[in-house]
Amino acid sequence: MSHPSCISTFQGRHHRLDEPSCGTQADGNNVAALLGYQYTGSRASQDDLPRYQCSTVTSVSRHQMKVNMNKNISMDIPVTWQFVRKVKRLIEDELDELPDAFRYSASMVAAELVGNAIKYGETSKSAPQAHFNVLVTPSEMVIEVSNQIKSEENLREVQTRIDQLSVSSNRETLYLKRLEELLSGNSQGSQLGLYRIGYEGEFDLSYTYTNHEHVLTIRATRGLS
Amino acid sequence: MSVETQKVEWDELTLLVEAGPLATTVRWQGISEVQDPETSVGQFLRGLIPKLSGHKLVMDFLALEYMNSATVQPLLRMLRALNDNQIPTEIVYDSDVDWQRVSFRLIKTVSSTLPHIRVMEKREAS
Repeated sequence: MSHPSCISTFQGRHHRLDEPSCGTQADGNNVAALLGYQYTGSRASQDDLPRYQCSTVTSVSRHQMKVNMNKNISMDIPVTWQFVRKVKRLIEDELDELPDAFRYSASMVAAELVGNAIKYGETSKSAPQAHFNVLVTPSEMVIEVSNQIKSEENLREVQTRIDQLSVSSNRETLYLKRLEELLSGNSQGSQLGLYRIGYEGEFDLSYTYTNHEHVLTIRATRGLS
Repeated sequence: MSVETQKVEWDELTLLVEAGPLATTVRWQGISEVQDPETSVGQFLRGLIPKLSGHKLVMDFLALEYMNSATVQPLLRMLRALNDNQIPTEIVYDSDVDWQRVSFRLIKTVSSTLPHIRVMEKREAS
């Protein structure tokens, strides 16, 4: 087991507490060099991303090459396309302790969900931006995007596709079927992202919809074991 | 009318078009994540088709780092158009890259009904 040995709360800078006096200790077997840090605060990010809330507790056992991370990233996103790329980069940077495959999947899923929110979402005075949230615990990763919907038709389409993925025992078949529809030219729009998230990213998808605010939240969850 | 060697860019995506005597190669490089690749990348690619008569086309994805799901649709439309125009086409991908292996294996499966299209790993191509 490994635990970060200190806590820091501040603003504007990612602060690693990996100095020997603060964050390094040995595990119970005295074989792993441990590196731990905790971060809580808001960050002004690079590339004019909106300021976002981020809290992190990470411990790394170098001996076991295992990462125990608790992280929460939360931000409001202007619904312009440039933020898809920026959110993707943010996830790649913030989750750099995770194995490459997880990090790639997380950034792909984040980009697809934020991209959908921008393409199919709507803004209003009550919801001028989409909301993006990532929660990483030692056991799972949850990526969530909320936005007002543009039309009931979009909503039904998303619900249908997520319902299909949720009950399917073979996501590859669904993905292939969608590719065949696109190849045949008998289908408008790509709408491949949800299948990609479910199949390639191996995330489970679910949604909630609040009628009075017309806000759709799509949640992608993947175990980290 | 023939294909010209050229370099086209959209954000972080570059397409290098290399015209040869028998084959034209389109090398995809960088990251494809534009919002509407259908009206940018897709239109550009389909504009090549009338100039490819009598040529083979190779689309090389080895240097492509990432593509969003929206890129898949214009790619599939291009494959269908190439097949309809009977242009022998090779799609080359890197199966050592996880996302390429997953994405192109599925594209290979669905394009198996297109006799003029061949999707192959880089070792098959070389």
